[in-house]
Amino acid sequence: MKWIDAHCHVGLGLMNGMEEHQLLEQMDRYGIETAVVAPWDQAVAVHNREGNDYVRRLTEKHPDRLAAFCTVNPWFGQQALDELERCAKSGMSGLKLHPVYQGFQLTDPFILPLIEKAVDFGLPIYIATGTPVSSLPMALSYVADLFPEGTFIQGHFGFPDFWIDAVPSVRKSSNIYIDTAYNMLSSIENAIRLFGAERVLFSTDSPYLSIRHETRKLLDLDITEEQRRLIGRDNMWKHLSKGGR
Amino acid sequence: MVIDFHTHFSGGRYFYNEASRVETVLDDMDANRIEKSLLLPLDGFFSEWEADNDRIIRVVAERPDRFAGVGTFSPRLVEPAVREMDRCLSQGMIGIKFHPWLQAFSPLEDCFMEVASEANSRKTLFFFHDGTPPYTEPFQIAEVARRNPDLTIVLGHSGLNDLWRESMLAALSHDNIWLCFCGCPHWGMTEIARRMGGERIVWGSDYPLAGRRDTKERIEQIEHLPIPDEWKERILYRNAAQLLARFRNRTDGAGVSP
Repeated sequence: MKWIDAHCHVGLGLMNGMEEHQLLEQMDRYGIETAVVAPWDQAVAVHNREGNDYVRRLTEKHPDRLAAFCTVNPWFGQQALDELERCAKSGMSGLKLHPVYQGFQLTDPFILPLIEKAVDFGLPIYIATGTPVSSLPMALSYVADLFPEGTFIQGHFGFPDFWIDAVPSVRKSSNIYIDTAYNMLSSIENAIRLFGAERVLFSTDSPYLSIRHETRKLLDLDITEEQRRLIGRDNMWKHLSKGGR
Repeated sequence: MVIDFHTHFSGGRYFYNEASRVETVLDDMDANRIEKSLLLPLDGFFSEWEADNDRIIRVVAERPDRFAGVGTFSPRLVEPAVREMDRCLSQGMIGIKFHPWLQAFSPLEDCFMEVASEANSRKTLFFFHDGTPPYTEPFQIAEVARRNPDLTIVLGHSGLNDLWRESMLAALSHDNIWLCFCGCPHWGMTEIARRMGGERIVWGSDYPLAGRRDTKERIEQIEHLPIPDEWKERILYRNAAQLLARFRNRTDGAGVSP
């Protein structure tokens, strides 16, 4: 077992889904030691508490194999802040936000208190990017710069149509990390050249993407074995161990 | 074998700063078992499209066994646009490629609809970049397909990450829409293939924006789909061969001499 998958989903949603045993079987088959799981689509959008409890219980059942990011829809306001605090105190490892599924702009004023609380708890924050008009790399950079002590993972590295913006956003904000899901080998290798392997995290975003395929990509990257170990495991291990930078 | 239905023959001037060379392209195709590539323009999206179309026409004329080509132009001025379309088709091209957000027009604008109507009467093929708001939403392009049933339309990215379902619904609603798997997520490709029974789907790499190893990886995306092997073969080869044959038959004898 070698790798840490920095971002995937478990649970059966309305549009896609994967059951616990399917995830564990594939982790075994493709050498993934630990997967960072977030709840399924509907639980990201609305049933946050149900989803968070589900993935947290999975980490309690498989503490050596799974870590969990919670999610809260910022539109729940104080309820979202309370849920984030509950999850953080229960030992969950990070916060996932999805501006498209959850229907907000990263610059909406009710987002900042959530970000601030997650940063206070030392939680890395995963935010999917690449979908206009609400999920954009330069908006993430603006927010990341407001919280220099925070750790932000720019999910999808701007794929598909914001690959141009993704580069200056990561260059501008030293607390933004990127993940490998969706991106071509050459794009990932270019990111490593530009930002260093320390800023890149292996992820599968399964079941939306294929664990088999995304793991194959990690193995096919034309990089040193030291870089592969950083991307494939050590970088995310550091975030999970320290609760951030 | 594989047919790559989404490659660009770069002039090296805009966007991608290396000009495509036929020998290199063929080497890269051979390395990935690609029998034939559809060459799309790149520099011609921005300026001097007639000269860029001529480059592709020449390459296809030299190696019709390995390449097919489409041209491009701005649809803003309808009369010269239709003239360039006719010139491209008479020189052996199988259709026209549009990249509406790079070329700054909406498929629903009057000027484009007039060009599409002319194309419909010629029963040709339009290849679109799709999946990116505000100008390449699949349903915008589906309206072009609905109004022009004799025009064959290929959605070059199957809606990409966010609009693949819309591209699938567009294709399920209109028989003249084909989908090209290129940048579409695993879950989306799986659902599209199942809903369409493996039909009217082709595969493309986006070469040279996707390099030789990226192209291999994108072929493996198809090989890793949980669908019957026979459908994978159709997507990677047979559907594209049928589509190319349909348009090659119309353009036989029309190409320039090598």
